[in-house]
Amino acid sequence: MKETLERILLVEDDHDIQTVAGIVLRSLGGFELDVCGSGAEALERAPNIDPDLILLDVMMPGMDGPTTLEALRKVPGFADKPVVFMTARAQPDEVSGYRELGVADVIVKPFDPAQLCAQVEAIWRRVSTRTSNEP
Amino acid sequence: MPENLFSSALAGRIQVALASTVVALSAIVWLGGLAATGTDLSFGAFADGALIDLLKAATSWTAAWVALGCVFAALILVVSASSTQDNKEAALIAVSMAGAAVLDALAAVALARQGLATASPAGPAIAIWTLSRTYLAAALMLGGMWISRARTTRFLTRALGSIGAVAAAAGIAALVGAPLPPMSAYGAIAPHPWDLLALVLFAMAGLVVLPHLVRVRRTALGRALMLSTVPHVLSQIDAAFGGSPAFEGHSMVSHLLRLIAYGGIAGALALNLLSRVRSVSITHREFETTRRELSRQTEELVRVDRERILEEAKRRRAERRLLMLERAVERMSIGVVITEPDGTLLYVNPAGASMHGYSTSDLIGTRYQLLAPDGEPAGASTATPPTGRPWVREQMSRTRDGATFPARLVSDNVRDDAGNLLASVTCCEDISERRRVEQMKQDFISTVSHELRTPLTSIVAALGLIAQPALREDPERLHELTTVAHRNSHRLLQLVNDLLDLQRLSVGRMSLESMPVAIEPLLDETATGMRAVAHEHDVRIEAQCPQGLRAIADRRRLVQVLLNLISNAIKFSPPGAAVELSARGADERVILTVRDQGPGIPQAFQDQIFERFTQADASTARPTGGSGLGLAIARQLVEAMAGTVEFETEEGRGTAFHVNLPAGSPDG
Repeated sequence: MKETLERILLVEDDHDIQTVAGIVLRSLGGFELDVCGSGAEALERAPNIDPDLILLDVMMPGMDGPTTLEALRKVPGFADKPVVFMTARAQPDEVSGYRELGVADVIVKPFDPAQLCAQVEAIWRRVSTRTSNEP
Repeated sequence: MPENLFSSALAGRIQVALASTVVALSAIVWLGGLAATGTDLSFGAFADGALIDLLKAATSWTAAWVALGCVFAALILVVSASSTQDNKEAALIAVSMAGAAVLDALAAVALARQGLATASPAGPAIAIWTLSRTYLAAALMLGGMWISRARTTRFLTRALGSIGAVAAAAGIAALVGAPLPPMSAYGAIAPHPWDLLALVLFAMAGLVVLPHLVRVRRTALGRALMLSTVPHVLSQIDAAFGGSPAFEGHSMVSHLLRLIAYGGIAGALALNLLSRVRSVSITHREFETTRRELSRQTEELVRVDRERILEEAKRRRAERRLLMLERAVERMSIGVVITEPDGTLLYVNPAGASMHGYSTSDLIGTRYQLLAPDGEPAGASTATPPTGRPWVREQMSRTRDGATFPARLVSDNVRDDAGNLLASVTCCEDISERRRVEQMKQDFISTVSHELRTPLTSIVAALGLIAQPALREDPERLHELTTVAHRNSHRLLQLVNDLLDLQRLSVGRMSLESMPVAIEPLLDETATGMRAVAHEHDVRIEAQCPQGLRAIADRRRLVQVLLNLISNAIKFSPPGAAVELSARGADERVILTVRDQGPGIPQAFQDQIFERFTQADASTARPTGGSGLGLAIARQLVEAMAGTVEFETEEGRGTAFHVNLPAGSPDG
C-alpha cells in the first residue's frame, strides 16, 4: 500500500455535499478526487479509477452504503480497499453497526471542513500502518 | 307491675296474708259473738254444767262462722280464678259457698236467738235454713255439672249469685221485720217438701255429678265436694226426720254434720289456695331461673349470632373481593401464570394462554418450561431471588408453534408462614408491539437526525470554507458556496416547518379555515409557482380546470397540499415528461388530480406511501431526495378539511393522486 494518500473516490448522492466535500478535498487537501452520485455508478467506475480510499455515503437512493460496500468487496482489487462511511445517521448504535461491517472508519456529518482532510489522512495512516505490519 | 298479678311472688304473699286474715278474723268474730250473746266463758261455767250450753251455742256459731270464713276464702279464690282458667271449679264452689254461708249464718243467728230465748225455733229460721240447704245442694250439683263440662262460669256465677241474693234479702226481711213464730217443724216426718228437695239434690250431687267431676278433673277440691255431700245428706235426713228443738238431740247432730261438711270444703279450698300459692311461688322461682337462663342463653345466642353475622359479612367481602380479583385476572390483557415449586402449571389466565397460542386447559398441569425457549431460565420458581423481591426481566417466550416473542416477566413467590415455597406467580406481557413502537421511535429520531444533518452538512461545510483564507480571493467559489449554504438553509427551514406541521396535525392543534375556494385560479397559481422547479427537472406542468368550480377548504393549506403533490410528481417524472394538474366536480364533491408519468409506486410500497419518512423508513436507501414528510402532511391536511387523498398507480406508467373535497356553491 502506498505511503501517501493521493486519490480518493467520493460516493455521495447529495449535490451540495459533493460540492463542498470536493472543494475541501481538492482545494484544501490537494487530493485527486473522483465523485460518483450513486452506488451503482461507483461500482461501474471504481475499477477504472482505482482510488486509494473511498468515502462512501451511507444513505443513498437505489443502493445504500452498506450494499455498495458489499458489492465493492467483490470487485477484484477492492476486497481490502479502505472504505470510510460518511453518514448523517449518527446514533451511537448505528455508528458501531457500521464499524462492524468492516469499514476503516466512520465520519459523522456534518463534518468540519477544516478538519476533514486531517481526519482522512489520519485514517489513511492508521490503515496503511496496520497493513504494512501484517505478515 | 307485672301483667298478671297472681303469677308473681307478690300475689302469692297477698293470698297467704288474706287467708291468715280470714282465719284470725273468724276466730275474733266467733269469740266476740259468743261474748255478745252473753255466753259465760268463765271456768266456773264449765264447772257447774254450763259447758253443755256453751257447746250448744258454740256449735251453731262455729258452723255459722266457718261458713262466713268460707265467704272470705271464696272472695280470694274468685279473684285468683279470674287470673287463670285452671281454677274455675274453686271459683264456682267459692261463689256457691258464699251464698250458702250467708244464708246459713242468717239461719244460725235466728236459731240462736230463738233457741237461747225460747228453745223453740219458729218459721223464718226454718225457712232460711231450708233455703240455704236447697241453694247449697243446687249449687253443688249445677257447679259440678258445669265444671265437668268445662263451660264458662259467667252465667252460672250470676245465676247462683242472684238466687243467693234473693234468698238473703228474704231472710233478712223475715228476721228483722216480723216476730219469731214458734218452731213446729220438729217432731214430724217430712214436715216440708223443700226439706226433701234439698235431700234429693244433695244425694244426686254426691252420687252422680260430683263423682263424674272427680273422674274428669281428679282434683282434691272435687273429692272434698263429693265427700261433703255425705254429712250434708246425713244432716238433711237428720233435720227432716229427726225432729227436735233447736240445739237439742238430732238438731245438734245436724249442726255438727253441717260443720263437718263446711269444714271439709273450707279445708279443700284452703289446700287449693295454698297449692296455688306454692305453685305460683315455685313457678315464679322456676320462671326467674328460666328467665335468667334464657337471658344468658339469649345473650350468648346474640353474641354468637353477631359473630356469625360478622364472619358471614367478612366471608362475603372476601368472596366478593376474590370474585373481583378473579374477574380482573380473567379479563386482563397481561398473562398470569401460577406454578408449583416443581414448575407444574397450576393456573394460566386466558391472556397468558392466548399469547402462547394455547387455551388454559391445554396448559394447566404441564410444565412451565413449555413456555420458555430452549436455553432460557426455567421460570420463577427456581430463579426468584431469595430476597423475596419481585424478579423483573425481559426474555423470549415460546408459542405453541415454536415461534418466540419478547416478553416482560415479573415473578414473585408465595410462601407459607414457615417460609416454605407454595407457588410462584408470574405476570407475562408480550412486548413485541412496545419494541416495535420503540424501534419506530428510534428510526424516526434517526431519520429526523439524518434529514437535519444533511442540509446542515452543506451549510456548515460551505460556511467553514468561506472562512478559509485560501478561498477568499476566489469570488466565483465564494458565490458557489454562499448559494449552497443559502439553498440548504431553506431546505432545513422547510424540514422544520414540515415537522412542526405534522406535530400540530397529530395533536389536532392546527386551526384551518373552512370556506368556499375557487379552484381554477388556485390551480393556475400553484402551477405557475412550481414551473421554475419543474423546469430545473426538465418537466412540464399542464393545468386545466372548469370555470366556477369551488371547494370548501382552507385555501393556504390546500395550496400546500398541491405543492407537496406536484413537487413529489416532479421528482419522480422522467426528463421531458409532463405533470398534469386538473379538477372536476362530482356528487357534491370536488376532485383535484395531480398525475405524473413516473415509474409508479411499487406494490410493496403502496401501503406505506402516506407514512412519515416513508422514503427513508428503516432502510437507508431512498429512491429520491426529500424528507419523506410531504405525502403524510398532505393527507393529514386534506382529512382535516373533511376530504380524502387517494392514489392510483401503475408501475412504469405513472401515478395519479386524487384530492377529494366537499364542493362549495358555484360562482354566481
